[in-house]
Amino acid sequence: MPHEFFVPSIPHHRRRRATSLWAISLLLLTVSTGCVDLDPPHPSRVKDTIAANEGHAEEPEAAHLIADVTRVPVSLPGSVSPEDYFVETRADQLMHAPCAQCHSDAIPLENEPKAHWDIELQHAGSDTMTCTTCHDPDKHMESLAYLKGGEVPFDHSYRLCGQCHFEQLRDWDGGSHGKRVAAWAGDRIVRNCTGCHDPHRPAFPKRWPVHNPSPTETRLMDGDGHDKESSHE
Amino acid sequence: MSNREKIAEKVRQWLKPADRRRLRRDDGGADTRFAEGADAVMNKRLDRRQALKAMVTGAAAGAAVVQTACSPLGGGSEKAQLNWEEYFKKNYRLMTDEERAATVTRLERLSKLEQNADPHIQTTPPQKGVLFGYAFNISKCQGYMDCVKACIEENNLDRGSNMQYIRIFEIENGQDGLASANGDFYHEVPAEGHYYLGTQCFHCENPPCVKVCPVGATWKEDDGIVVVDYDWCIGCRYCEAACPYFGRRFNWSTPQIPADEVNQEQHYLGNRPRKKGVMEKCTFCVQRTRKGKLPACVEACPTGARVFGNLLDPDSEIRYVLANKKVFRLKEELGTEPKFWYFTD
Ligand code: HEC
Ligand code: HEC
Ligand code: HEC
Ligand code: HEC
Repeated sequence: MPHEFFVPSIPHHRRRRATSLWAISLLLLTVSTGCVDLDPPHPSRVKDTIAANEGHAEEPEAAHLIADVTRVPVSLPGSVSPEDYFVETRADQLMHAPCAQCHSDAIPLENEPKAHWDIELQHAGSDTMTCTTCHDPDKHMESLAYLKGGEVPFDHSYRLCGQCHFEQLRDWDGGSHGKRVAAWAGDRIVRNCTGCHDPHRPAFPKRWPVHNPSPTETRLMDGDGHDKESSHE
Repeated sequence: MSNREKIAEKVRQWLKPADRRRLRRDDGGADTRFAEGADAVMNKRLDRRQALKAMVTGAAAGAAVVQTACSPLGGGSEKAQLNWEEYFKKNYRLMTDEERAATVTRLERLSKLEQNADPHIQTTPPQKGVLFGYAFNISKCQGYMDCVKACIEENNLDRGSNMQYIRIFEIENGQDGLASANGDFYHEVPAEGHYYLGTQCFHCENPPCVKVCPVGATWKEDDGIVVVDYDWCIGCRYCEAACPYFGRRFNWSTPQIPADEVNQEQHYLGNRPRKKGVMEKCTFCVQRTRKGKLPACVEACPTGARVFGNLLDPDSEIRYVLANKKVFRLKEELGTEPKFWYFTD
């Protein structure tokens, strides 16, 4: 009796890793029991199609699609990034830039902050994270600060985040976290971490969906179980 | 066996019993859909055949009719003339480049005459070395529905019936079946203790919908996109029943789109406005993707849950997902081989 489908349980992201193991075992189960009802005579498999055709693509010309996207080449420490790999800029998006308008001198941190009241940190705990974890008060404010010292330009904030979130940085680099913008073909441009996450409160906000669902077909499967019925015939 | 019975027989072979029952349920009781569908097939075929035969036997007269715009369908108007020629065009797959250009010219002109619209209808073919694939990250989707909205606008979906190609399901953590998945939520998202899973046409390698189409109005292109020739479709809905994923939609009424909201950048096999009585579905935004753009849903997604790209390019994001994540597909055991994978972080 083949499994009709399987759905891994998706807990809140903090428990994610534990359940993905569960997911694999279920997936294996599906794979091992699932080869019963194949279409005659020989269905082609995507895997084989890829193996047989992999190679040089005649990708559509995409230069005009990305022309307007302001970007800088990605540079990841310890790896050579390909020449056609970019990240959307951030420095030009900051409301308060240039910071030097006000921050010509070092910020006296012994005082309570007298500005940026709108910024309230909700990122890890206050024991882990203060403004100076990422902003160096002694240097000018045009860049961010590595944990161990040294500057990171705003446009490359992914390197700052990646110091603590290296798995996300790896997947962002590979393409399964974050997103590519403008085109699937041609130069690869990806969204910066701070293009999606507010660094000061990085969790995604709750909000109303922008559209209502369609009134029809609101179940994913026949409730009465597809598989059971077909096996009786 | 009559032709009509043969067609019905063929279609039955491909339908699962549950689907058969579902079709019947839709039709309110009797198993009339097959008879009606087969009738429609036969009538349409006869229509076409008889009319074409008439034209061939009276070839000269036929040509004259076309040229002088005195079509038997009525009036001498340009519109009637164009509609007459449209009626006798071929299945898109069989058209020469010239014939494709000619129907595009007619369709664009008809839009001008009928709606005062100026669409640009492409016929961009599949690119060599490109096979489209899609992956959906169920640990990222938040149920915001930005994809649904973008799809409706991009693809000229019927606002009257709230037609949607994408469905987003809210599923409780820890549930071991999709039967309880709820596609009818409307509240603040993400809801505590739930995750979200989106479906649309999966562009199967072995699409059951294509097999059951009695008139060859739907097929898989070389870049993997399963398309519908809206002008060849007879609306029998067999494909809808054959799809194990509820990926296809039927136009029960004439689609309505406010004139100023019509997307004029169109593809013959993609988002050009449909008629009443034909099937439609997600085409991976063929009008966009064959030009290098991302599908509208992928572009609109604020979470990055949607990954799209060329499966034949080993450096693509989609290949990274397939190689590095635990991926699965729905109803894998059917052998449909969807080119649409789900994954978790
Ligand atoms: C309109 C003037 C102004 C601009 C522009 C401005 N700041 Fe500030 N900022 C201040 C003031 C005033 C303080 C408080 C200094 C003090 O406490 O003495 C401050 C404090 C800070 C602090 C320390 C907060 C704390 O709790 O101690 C950080 C970090 C900071 N600013 C970052 C920035 C960055 C980054 C930019 C540029 C993107 C910027 N600021 C632009 C006025 C400004
Ligand atoms: C986790 C690292 C991190 C911490 C901690 C942090 N920031 Fe930031 N901050 C950033 C990054 C990254 C940016 C650039 C944001 C972007 O790309 O949009 C930024 C931008 C800013 C800006 C400019 C915003 C704008 O739109 O102009 C100000 C002001 C600022 N931070 C102040 C603060 C203050 C005050 C604190 C402490 C309460 C703080 N930051 C704590 C990482 C951090
Ligand atoms: C100093 C280490 C550090 C840096 C630098 C850092 N983070 Fe974090 N971040 C944390 C910790 C610790 C948590 C809490 C993890 C947890 O609760 O499991 C966290 C949580 C998060 C979360 C999950 C929030 C939630 O509640 O769901 C996101 C998203 C995030 N960070 C994004 C970023 C981004 C984007 C940057 C760069 C601007 C960044 N982080 C920089 C340490 C860091
Ligand atoms: C396209 C938008 C997008 C971009 C770009 C992006 N993220 Fe995320 N990220 C998300 C979403 C959506 C989630 C899941 C929602 C949540 O947990 O709040 C998430 C979750 C996270 C989390 C929580 C743990 C997890 O994996 O679920 C961390 C940490 C994180 N992101 C870090 C980063 C870092 C670091 C970068 C840049 C290298 C980055 N993100 C880029 C959308 C994005």
